[in-house]
Amino acid sequence: MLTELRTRLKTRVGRLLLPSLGNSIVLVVVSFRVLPVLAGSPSLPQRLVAGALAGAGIAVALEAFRVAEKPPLRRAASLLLALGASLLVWYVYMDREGARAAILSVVIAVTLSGAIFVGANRWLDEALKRWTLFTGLTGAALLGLVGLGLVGNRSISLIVGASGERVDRSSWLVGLLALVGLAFGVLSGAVAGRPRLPVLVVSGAGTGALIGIFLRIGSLPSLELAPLISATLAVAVAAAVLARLRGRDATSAALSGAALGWLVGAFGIPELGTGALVEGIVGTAGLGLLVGLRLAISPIPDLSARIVLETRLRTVIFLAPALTFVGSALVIPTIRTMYLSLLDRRSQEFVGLDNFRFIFLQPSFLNISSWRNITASSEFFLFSVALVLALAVVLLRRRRTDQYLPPRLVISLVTAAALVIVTIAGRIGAVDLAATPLILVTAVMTIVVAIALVLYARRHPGNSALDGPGGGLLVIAVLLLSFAFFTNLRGTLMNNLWWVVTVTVAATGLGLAIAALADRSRGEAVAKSIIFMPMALSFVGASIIWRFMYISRLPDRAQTGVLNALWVNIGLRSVSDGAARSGIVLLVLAALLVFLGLAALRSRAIGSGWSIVLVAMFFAWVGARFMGGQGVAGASVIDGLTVISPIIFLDSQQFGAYNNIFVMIPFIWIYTGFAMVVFSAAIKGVPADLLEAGRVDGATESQSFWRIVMPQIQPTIGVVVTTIIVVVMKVFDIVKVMTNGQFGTQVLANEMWNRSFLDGNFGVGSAVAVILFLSVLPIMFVNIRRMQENAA
Amino acid sequence: MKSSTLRFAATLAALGLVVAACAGDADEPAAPAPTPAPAGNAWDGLPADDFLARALAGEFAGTAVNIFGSERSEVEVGGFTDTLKVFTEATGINAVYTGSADFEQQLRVMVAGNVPPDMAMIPQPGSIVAYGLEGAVQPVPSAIVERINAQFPVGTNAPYESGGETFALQIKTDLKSILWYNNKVFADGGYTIPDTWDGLKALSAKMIADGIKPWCIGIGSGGATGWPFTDWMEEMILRLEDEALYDQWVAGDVTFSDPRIIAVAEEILSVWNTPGMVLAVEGTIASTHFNQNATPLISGDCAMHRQAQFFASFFDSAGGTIGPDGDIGVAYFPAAGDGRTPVLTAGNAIAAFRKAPEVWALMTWLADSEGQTTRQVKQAARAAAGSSAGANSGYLSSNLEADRSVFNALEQSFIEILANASPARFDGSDMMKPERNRAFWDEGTAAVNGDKSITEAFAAIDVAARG
Repeated sequence: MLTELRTRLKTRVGRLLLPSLGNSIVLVVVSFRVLPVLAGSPSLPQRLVAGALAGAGIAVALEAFRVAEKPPLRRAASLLLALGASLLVWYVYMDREGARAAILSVVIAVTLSGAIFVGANRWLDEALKRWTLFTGLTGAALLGLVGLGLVGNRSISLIVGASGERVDRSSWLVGLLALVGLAFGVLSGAVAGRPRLPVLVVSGAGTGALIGIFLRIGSLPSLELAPLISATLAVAVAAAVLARLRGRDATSAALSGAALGWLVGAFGIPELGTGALVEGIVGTAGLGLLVGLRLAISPIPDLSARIVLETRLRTVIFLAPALTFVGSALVIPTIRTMYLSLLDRRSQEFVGLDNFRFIFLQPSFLNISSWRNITASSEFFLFSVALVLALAVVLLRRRRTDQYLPPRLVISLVTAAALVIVTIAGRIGAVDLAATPLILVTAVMTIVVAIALVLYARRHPGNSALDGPGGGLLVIAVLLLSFAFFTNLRGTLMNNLWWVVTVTVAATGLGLAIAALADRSRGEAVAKSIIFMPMALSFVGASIIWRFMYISRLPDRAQTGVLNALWVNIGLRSVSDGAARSGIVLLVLAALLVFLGLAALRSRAIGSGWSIVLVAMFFAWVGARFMGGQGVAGASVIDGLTVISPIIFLDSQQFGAYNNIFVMIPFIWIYTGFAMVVFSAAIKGVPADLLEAGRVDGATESQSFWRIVMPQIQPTIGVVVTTIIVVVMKVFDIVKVMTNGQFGTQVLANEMWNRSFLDGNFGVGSAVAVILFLSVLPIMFVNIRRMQENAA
Repeated sequence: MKSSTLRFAATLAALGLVVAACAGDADEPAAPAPTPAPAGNAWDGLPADDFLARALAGEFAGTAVNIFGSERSEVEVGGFTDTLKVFTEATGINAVYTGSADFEQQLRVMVAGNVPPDMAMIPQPGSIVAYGLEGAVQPVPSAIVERINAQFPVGTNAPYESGGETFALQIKTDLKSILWYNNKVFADGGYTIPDTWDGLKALSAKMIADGIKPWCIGIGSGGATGWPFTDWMEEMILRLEDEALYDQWVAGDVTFSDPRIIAVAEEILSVWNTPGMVLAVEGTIASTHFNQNATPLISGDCAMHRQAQFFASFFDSAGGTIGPDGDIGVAYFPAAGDGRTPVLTAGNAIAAFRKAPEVWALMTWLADSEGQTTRQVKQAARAAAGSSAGANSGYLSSNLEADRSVFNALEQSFIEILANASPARFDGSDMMKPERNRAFWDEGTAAVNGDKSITEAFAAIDVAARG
């Protein structure tokens, strides 16, 4: 059975089948477009067309399977099947609502794609066998498509009947043009020798003129000689020069260029809708004449030329579905958006860069007025403290391993310490941190630390003291620095950058930590599945869940949001009668933890030891508050009165710009799972013998992670980071659902939507889209470069 | 044999596809299926005669009209659909309504994609005029405008006019200048509704002294958060300043940075920010959804609330009764005390995106006294079916010829306030262009929330309005 299938797939039909599937995706889209229109008013002929369509498609698909061998019985069966399918289609069209029609449209699309593919291949076969038929079909298809485009864009039309009862018969024009194209194609494939030139020129001009007759009034150009001639000549000369440079025939290229130039000169440059009918006819006839001339100067190709042509065209057919998709869904919209961003709100007048100027002038988009507060902010102070701590840890670890202190680390530490002193001076009011000279000094110091650290890390790759706790503290320092920036530089643009920094660091860091900690531990599969699960949620779903988590109610009512219920109830517990007892329990817990932490410290697990002690100190503090009855969390006692204060997460009143973080949390929640899965796979891919060798040499778990695993998964980190950055840049749904950009949480994608569809200002909306596109571009570039490097 | 069959079938299939693709170039419509537009402007030549009379004679039977709108509540959609059924039975024109939560964006997309609905019910005159000027909304034939304007107070349809054309007709009126109050709190405290804004402030201060929260305020509304604040602004500009400034401000001739406008905002926020003045159920004024104010007002957690007449249905669904003997009392929001009684209104207007006799017939009927009366009867029936007795329809007509007896006592008192208005002004933010309106929402929210100073926030609105 399987072998049979395999041999079948190896036959020509099998090879045909795969590209058919690609085509069918395109056609599913087409048929979803076409069917509702058909279904809008299904007359009997339309139903019959639909029936014949499906029947023919199914018949052809079946035929395709039987190309190799075809006993007459099977043929009869397939015809019967086609008949049945037609009946089925007809029946479904009677009751066309709902899922049946949708499924059917998919079926039709798939079979049609097979039909078109087989048809196209048959058509190409004719290129070798019957050239005239081939050119005729080509002409019919090309002019039919041209007609379809023109009718679809309402450039040509056919209205019949007397006034009052006029009927639009524009769709007939497609058939008419296809017939004319057939005739022209046959002529160009059959007429050889002396008559070829006059026949093709005249028939080309005639075909063009025929199109011109049907041009709608709104498409008639008012021709002007100068631009028409100059455009024709300019493009012709350009094409000729280009062909010469590439070693091709200059004359034919010049004629093709002339046709293109004529098209631009006749319909591109002049204003449409102001000309007379004769001008339209001249425009199209001239184009047809040039095309005819171009075809006439080349003789009918001989067999070898046809073989070349046939091979090339077959490749095109294989690529067509992908090219259609990329072109219609990606390239054209991108170019169009860029173009629209230069036009006014209704996409009519050219306004240059006004839209960009407008958007950058909006304080809600970019507001850097309080940049002076960056260094004076408490975030910056905390950043410098974290920096000093990180460097101190790095130096200490360095000293333990070898006595040599690299000068770059010393410079970093000294500068960071100076930074702390300056910021402390600012906090106690000795100096004004918002004064320009001091801002410059602190900025320079920050840069010095950064450069020294980067240089150090580059000099000591894989053996750097920056891993472990020191590295962790450094990451925290960088986050704090970004907070100092983004809480003072506000606006949509800054919010997006903040998202990129915070979400990328948090999701990557958490994912890596979980993957490393869960690796080879008990219950790994279960834990990882649970953490990966949010990935199955849509952003909208996750946002709604988190909105419910965040909800706050009046202090005197039950809190319905999970987080506030916890917060307020812990608070209420701390001021209730049994608070002292709970406090004792907490203190005992803290004591136990301290004991545990000390034990860990004794066995030289420094990191975990200190973490446990820190947690113990927290418990002890909470316990003391419980004992003292002052209240914690959502409840505090002021002047003997209990004040309950739920957290209002998404509002800017309580957290200032930090409400953005709460909007980011759903994203981090989802993408931690993604990062974890990728990292987990990478960690499992680290060769076991490397780890084994490390263990033999006496490396601890954490050493083998930082020194062996991390360097091995370096490329994976790059992939995860760039992927998350690209997704974060485009974030839309979460913000739309949670705040809709209110309270200073706007992001670019939502701004784009609001500008375009709420304001109806497509110029500014497109400008925001272009800004978004340009900011994603460098990261995409890096990503693609990396992939190419990996492939090479 | 084989190859010829194949060729035939493939050609047939390709041709069928071509024919099918030609059948229409419409994108799949998001809501109602569009009726194909007639070729050219076939109806241009028709005399602007009485389309409604011809429709009632059955001339357009079998045609269809779809209406797109933002009304989505069960009572509203049910009431409107029932109203359309009456029209369909009388004329044979199949009229279908579709409501959407993302109405504004979706309509914009449909228009941009060249598949607009036949008609749309649009609350913002600014959008209607903008659609009209870009040629999407069709100007209403003057014969219809004259007929309908004669039935309404002067100037009702003025917000939808531009360049001598009227682009829409108001078919639903909202009365905004209403003060809702808790009867029990007022009776227990011996309070009375003051006649002036200053009196209202004094009353609020007295309530605070008595340990009562005077106001329930929340301006949250999802993507439209901030609009209740814009209502307050408009209300107070009409009172503390005058309608001349109001009109200039709405038109954009007076900016938000104008000291008179800033002063009004300062007046409002100084009241809102007074300690003990405002109960915001969800924590802050900005994050409290406007519809959350019904419950605390019924329970007496706060004493007063300012909101449009449609809020009656929120009291209904929160289980409160309205009227002198009920939980909630109703009064005209006090004026400045200078003899004027300014009233702020809003409304939903119907605009046509397709020129067709059946569309004009339906439009005429909906705005006409008969359609307006029918709507009230049907919607009141729906409201009564959904809740206890005495339910309010949430619908209001300012059509002078509509049958007043089909409105209940409360609704008639609203109509009374509308009739006594001097002057009446349409909701200004809805008449501003979208950028200005949206910036007013957003920056107004920022000012209420204390994220920005009033001067800073209002300057940002002026910058946004330059687009």
